[in-house]
Amino acid sequence: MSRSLLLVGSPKPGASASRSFAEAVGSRLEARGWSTRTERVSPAFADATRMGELLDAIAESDLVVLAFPVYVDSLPAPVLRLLETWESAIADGAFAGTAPKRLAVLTQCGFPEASHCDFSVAVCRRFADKTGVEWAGALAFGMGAAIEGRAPEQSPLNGRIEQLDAAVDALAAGDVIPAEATAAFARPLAPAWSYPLLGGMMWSKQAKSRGCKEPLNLRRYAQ
Amino acid sequence: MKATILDASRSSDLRTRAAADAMEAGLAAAGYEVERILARELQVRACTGCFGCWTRTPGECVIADDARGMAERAIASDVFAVVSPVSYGSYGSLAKSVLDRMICLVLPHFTMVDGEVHHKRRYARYPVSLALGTLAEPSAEETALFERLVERNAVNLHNPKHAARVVSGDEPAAEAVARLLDAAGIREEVAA
Repeated sequence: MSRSLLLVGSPKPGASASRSFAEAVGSRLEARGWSTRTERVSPAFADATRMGELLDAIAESDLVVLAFPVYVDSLPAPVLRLLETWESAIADGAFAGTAPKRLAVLTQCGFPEASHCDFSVAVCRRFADKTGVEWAGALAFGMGAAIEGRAPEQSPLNGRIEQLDAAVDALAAGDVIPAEATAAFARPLAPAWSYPLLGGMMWSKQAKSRGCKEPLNLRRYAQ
Repeated sequence: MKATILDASRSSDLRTRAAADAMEAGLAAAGYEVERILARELQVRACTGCFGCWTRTPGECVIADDARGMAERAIASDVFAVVSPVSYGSYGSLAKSVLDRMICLVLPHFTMVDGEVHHKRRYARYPVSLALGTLAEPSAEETALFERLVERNAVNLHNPKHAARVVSGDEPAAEAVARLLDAAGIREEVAA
């Protein structure tokens, strides 16, 4: 049986867009006869034992699906550190004798344009090329909060289920996620021009729900 | 004029440490009062993505550790320079752990920049961004990615000018620093 490892790169311990995205792919892989295992990236850095266990999980898998949010135009620091650690482990021979690994990436950002994710995908692609991990493609979309804690079918991504299925079909067959699926996922869920207005309302609402009494545009530090 | 350097070298990384030495010397020669911070000595927890810096304690991370001081230093500087090993075209994870915690310096609110959505500026002015990356072996691809990252960051972080270079192997960093300062127009301003 083919084995996949779903790595959730969101630092949030509970629900996250990354976890929802990873689980959506994982459930589809299972429906296609794969075994799946889900692990969070951040806790692996608590101690050497946990990192060793995560590297063992990578070693035991055929396909690694790495799901993460874009932070400051790139991968969150813990996800970067995972790639660095994985590369070191490869160089140290930790994966000698294990099955070849494939890497697929699922990423999302808070902006409406998926293009903000392009750099992060390129970084992961470079990691794969540099280390000999086989690149299996990526899905990226904007407005990531839209699926936090929800299955795609119950979210604004419900119009992309066909493309999600096509992507998983390819992964399950040992192929790269089709460019058509990647392009379909990248289409904005909301028009960019609406974001300045809708985003402002969203942040004000969130601040109010958190009991924030300070102005959101506070300049905290002296210049 | 004040410059802050985030030296993201790990203790065994002599190449990045030498690059940070060159950055410090170059900025000092250009007339800046330089403060160099060793990222490896900072206590910085990973960003939790809670957006507390936007909607709970606006302008400051909710986590009370050294990242707060770094954000405060950065926005009070005329130049903010990051010296870091390059990981697959990105800043290395040590630098990134600090940079992830700096979104408090912008507003949560959105604006359009050249037809693309970005966050609005929080402060009246932002520092010039300099980035000096290091690689063990030359890589045109990673160098191009690194330069692209710094450019993208400069849009989101409202840096009025930015410049990035990568040095590899035994390449002397002093020349790369000189080119960085020239590219950012810093040495010209000092000369003027």
